[in-house]
Amino acid sequence: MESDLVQEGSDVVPIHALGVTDTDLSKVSSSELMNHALANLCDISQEGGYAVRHGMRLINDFGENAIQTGALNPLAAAFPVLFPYGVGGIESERDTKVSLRDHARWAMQYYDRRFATHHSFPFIVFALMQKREAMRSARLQMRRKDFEREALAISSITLKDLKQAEVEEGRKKAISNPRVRALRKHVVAANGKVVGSDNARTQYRGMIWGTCLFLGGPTIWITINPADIHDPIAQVFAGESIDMDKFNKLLGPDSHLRAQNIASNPYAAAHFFDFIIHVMLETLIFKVPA
Amino acid sequence: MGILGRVSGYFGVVEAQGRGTLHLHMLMWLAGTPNADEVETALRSVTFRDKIRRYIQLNIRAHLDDLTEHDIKKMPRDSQLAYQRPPDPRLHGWNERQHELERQLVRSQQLHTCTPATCLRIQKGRYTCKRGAPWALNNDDYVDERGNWGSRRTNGYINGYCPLVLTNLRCNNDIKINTNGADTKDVAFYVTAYATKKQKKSHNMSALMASAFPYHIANPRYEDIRERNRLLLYRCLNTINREAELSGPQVVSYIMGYGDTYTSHHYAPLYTNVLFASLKRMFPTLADVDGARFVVYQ
Repeated sequence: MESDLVQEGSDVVPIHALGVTDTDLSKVSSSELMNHALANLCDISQEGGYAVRHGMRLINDFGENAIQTGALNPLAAAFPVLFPYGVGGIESERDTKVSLRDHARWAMQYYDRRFATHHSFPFIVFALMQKREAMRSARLQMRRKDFEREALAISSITLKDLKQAEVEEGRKKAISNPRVRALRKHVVAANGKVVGSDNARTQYRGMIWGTCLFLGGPTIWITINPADIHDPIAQVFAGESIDMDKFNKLLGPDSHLRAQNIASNPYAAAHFFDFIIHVMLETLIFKVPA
Repeated sequence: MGILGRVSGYFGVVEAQGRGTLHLHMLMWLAGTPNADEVETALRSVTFRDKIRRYIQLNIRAHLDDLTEHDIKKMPRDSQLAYQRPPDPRLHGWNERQHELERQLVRSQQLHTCTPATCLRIQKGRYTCKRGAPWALNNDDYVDERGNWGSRRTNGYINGYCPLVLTNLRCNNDIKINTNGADTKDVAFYVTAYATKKQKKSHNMSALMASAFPYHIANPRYEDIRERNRLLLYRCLNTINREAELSGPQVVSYIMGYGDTYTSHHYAPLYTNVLFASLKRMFPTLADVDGARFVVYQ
């Protein structure tokens, strides 16, 4: 739990990159974006600075139609350090269509680990995935009967209504305005279909209750904090060559490098977690050899 | 059949620590356990209680005879115990090696230390551990007729653990059983809410929608009212999701399709709107379900 993890690795406290992405770009100025792009460019290379003038036109974040509209591929243009010469971008024109999801998964597993260890690329790609799902989900929500029925109510919402609801919600009170309630209902329903959203997570409650109806009350409640920094398997996933058959703890990366390997490579950390939980379920929980 | 017995179902939810590391909360259902109606009778039988006590003995430990207060003071905390392979059960002397590893791991991973930065909160004017340490001391593993249970514990700061999970994964863990007593529903509700609680601070959704709104008004796109509402909905979703703070490993888990749950069963949504609507028509006194649906849950 929290306290136990804080104690772990007393002298090294690795911090994973945390990101907040502005998916609809309404709060980030174009000069800020330019700065980020330049920072990306200078990230690893020792080449020194470039004087690059940015265009005035925003690039659409759909890579697919870029060529028709004469625009650049958004991810290739934003990450020249990952896509040299701006080619091979996600959703760029190619003979066989590769989806955003499949291409992102390929990138995370790429042999030189440049996509996985990039400080912002995984966050941007994930934000893009969330945005696509939000778009699909909003479209599905629109086709519902109650969305049509409440159309007039929702379109007549004012900023004042929302501010009032904000105060009520802040006081943990029910929201009095029926128009805001209608909008919230649709927002919660639509966001439930968006990967990684809080609304998607709250749906798990219903699944757990469903399981209780099916199997009765749960018998065991267990919490597991896999030790990603120090587990040799996680280090192998991060690219260290460790002979697991003849394991010697005096060889291989030291504690400092181990922490760095995991903190800089969220793919290795996530892969290890998924692997170790599956292995635990398979070998300890379901099949223990006699 | 595994270390915890015959498991008929499980539901695990992944969370991220402040540092970004992932951990798992998992509920498990054991096969052949008495249901809430039967358990009261069952708990009155000595044989049944003995069975539970043996289960606790095997799987929920909070004490080692050869780890005394003195031993703990003498042993340095070793945070790097995970950097090894679990002892090979095929080799001679496995029992001894396994036990020594358990001892070291308990010292380094299961000994809770309260600090203001982690678990201490001020309650009624004094610092209290939010995790309840020091935990109750017990002379022996026990379960009583009402279903209250505990593991032998001589040091109030040793957190109960599953021995084979501890030694095989070499990591901190916490395990509790639910004896299906009268408080089952409370426990189930608590863990359900806990396991699926919102990540980080819960945002004020209305405030987020309010912040998306001026942009929506200033950038009209469609004449059609439904399309305009769809765009508002889409903009609200983006505003809400961009405020969620996710760690690198969480984001990659979603990209890779690992997701944030581990489940034994598949789930299909049950559309209850029509059902609830007809119930409301039949029983008008139920009519304020609609208002209740928007109560803000913490």
